[in-house]
Amino acid sequence: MEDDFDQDVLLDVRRLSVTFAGGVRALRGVSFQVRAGEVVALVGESGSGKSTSGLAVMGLIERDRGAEVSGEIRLRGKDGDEKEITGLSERELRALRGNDVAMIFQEPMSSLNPIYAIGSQICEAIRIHRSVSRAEAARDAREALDLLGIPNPDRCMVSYPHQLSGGMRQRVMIAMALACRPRMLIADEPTTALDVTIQAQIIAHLKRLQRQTGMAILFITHNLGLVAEIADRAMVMYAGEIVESGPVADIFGAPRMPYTRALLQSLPRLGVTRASGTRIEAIPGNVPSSARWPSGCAFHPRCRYVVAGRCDASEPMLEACDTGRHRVRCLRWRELEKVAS
Amino acid sequence: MLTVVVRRLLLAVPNVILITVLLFFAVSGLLGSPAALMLGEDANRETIAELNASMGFDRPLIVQYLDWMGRALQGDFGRSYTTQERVADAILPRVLPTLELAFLAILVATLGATVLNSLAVGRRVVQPVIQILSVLGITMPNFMIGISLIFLFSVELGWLPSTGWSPWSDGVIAHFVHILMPVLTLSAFYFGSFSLVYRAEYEAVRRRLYVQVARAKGLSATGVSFKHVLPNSILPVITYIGISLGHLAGGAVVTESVFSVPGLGSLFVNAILGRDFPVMLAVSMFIIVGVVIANLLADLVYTLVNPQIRLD
Repeated sequence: MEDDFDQDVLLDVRRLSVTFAGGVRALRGVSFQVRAGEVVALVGESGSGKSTSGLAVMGLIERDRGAEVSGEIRLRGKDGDEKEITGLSERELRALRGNDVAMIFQEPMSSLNPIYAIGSQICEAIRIHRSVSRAEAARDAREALDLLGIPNPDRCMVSYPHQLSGGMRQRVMIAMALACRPRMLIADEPTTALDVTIQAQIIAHLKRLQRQTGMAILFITHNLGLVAEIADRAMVMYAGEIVESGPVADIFGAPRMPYTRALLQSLPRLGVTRASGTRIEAIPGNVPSSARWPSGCAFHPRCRYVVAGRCDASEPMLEACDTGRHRVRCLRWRELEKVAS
Repeated sequence: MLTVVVRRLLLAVPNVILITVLLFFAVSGLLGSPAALMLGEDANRETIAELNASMGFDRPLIVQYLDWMGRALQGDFGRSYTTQERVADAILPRVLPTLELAFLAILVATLGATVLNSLAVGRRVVQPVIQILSVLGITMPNFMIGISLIFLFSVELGWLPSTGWSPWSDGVIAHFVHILMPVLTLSAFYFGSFSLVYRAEYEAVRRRLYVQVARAKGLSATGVSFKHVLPNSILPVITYIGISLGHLAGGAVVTESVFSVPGLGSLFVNAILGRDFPVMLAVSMFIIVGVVIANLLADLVYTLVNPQIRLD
């Protein structure tokens, strides 16, 4: 990696590959970095490997069920030590999960254990990593709920999950994830299951907390609108690989990879009516099966710029373009620059 | 909560009436004249008729039933035909051994099924062993398990007494040495069926998102199993306990006979063999009331485990 490596790097993933039992290659040599305090979006359709990337950073890929993980995941912990996650024992991973890196998930409705009160679930997260009394943990849990703008934290503490709305539960999940003040948060589609108005509230809270605490967020989403809203940098994933990455302005302003362009064109836009001739363009076809990716460029069967004998024959590399922080994985990006935009 | 309990107990009243009516009429029809039974085959007609009249057996059955029920509600269950002992006196000392046996059997079955299966899921050697034990427990008849245990631990190894009972007053160890095999015998079926129910639920629950969340907090695999998966998987087992209670009473009867436990079960078997009508009726009523109360308890436990469920 010639990417500038400095002390600020919190998470450094190198050539990460994950193969699940049955030969499903979910990730194929993914490399990226997240700096302290940075919000990086991981964008892609379902099945592209973005959630697997998040789980791998948490050390939650279940190897005992036949999953294979290769490559390196270096994470700088709260103590400043660098840990290589793929090489840690389960015991070491436990010390790290929730403490150095925490994760929030897509479904707030099923993320909380239905039989325990909210307070006890947050206290559990606190007491796993810090030897504090129950009373102290409860005080911190209440504070964490307060931080998320929950109207009546004392009542919330003794409520059960089924008594709360989806948006409230996702705030609880965030409070729980941040209870041990991790420097790295993985947010796996945290707002997908919520109403749009609630989505905006949750995003606003995440942005505010990110500014206040200076934590880094790896924001996994399929929603490009949210990317523009929250992220500094975006990485587009397709078929278990990163196909384009760069500052959000570059990705949105000058997308290089035909897949990214297609994604952006598939967004509905205000002010563009059917009468003017433009339609929302869907990307033809589906994400290929992860058991057998296409040869050459994985996107070539769906790409409108495909050149037979070239795109299906050789695999493109992730190359730097423009400023150098913008990278693209396409054999034809130089030629296409003239064609489009 | 209290009103629910009261309402459930009141609902049990017609249950008890219905079952005792059925029992009263069916058994009276089958047994024929109680006086003939008491006096034996050689008695002449006049003495039988005389006794029938003096004991009120010549009255219509419905009158006899109401008479019996009226006395039963005052704690008077009549006298045993065979021993002339007051039925209440015969039953009371036998209630505790049966209750203890049934309670311990359900406890052992529940703990065994939940804890062993929680530990075993995903382990290559342990899991099949527990599965085989579960299936054995379900398929082997109760008395056969009892006899097999006696053969192994009493006859071959000589570790445990084959039959008999030792009250608490003889010491805790002697008590448990005697109750161990009856408890294992009675619990075998429930261990097996609870295991099947529990394991299916456990497999489903451990795929839930909140289980992954618990792992993401940094909780150990055992902690996740016992704190998050087990309490959520145990609900169908509690339901199953409630359903099993009537069946359990039947199992206790057989088990007590095999091991000569001085409980309600062996009293009931002897009453049937001796056609001892008052004892049969009284024991049935005790068992019905016991099952109703235990069912209610199971429902109350259910609400304690799962805050989403309210009884009303």
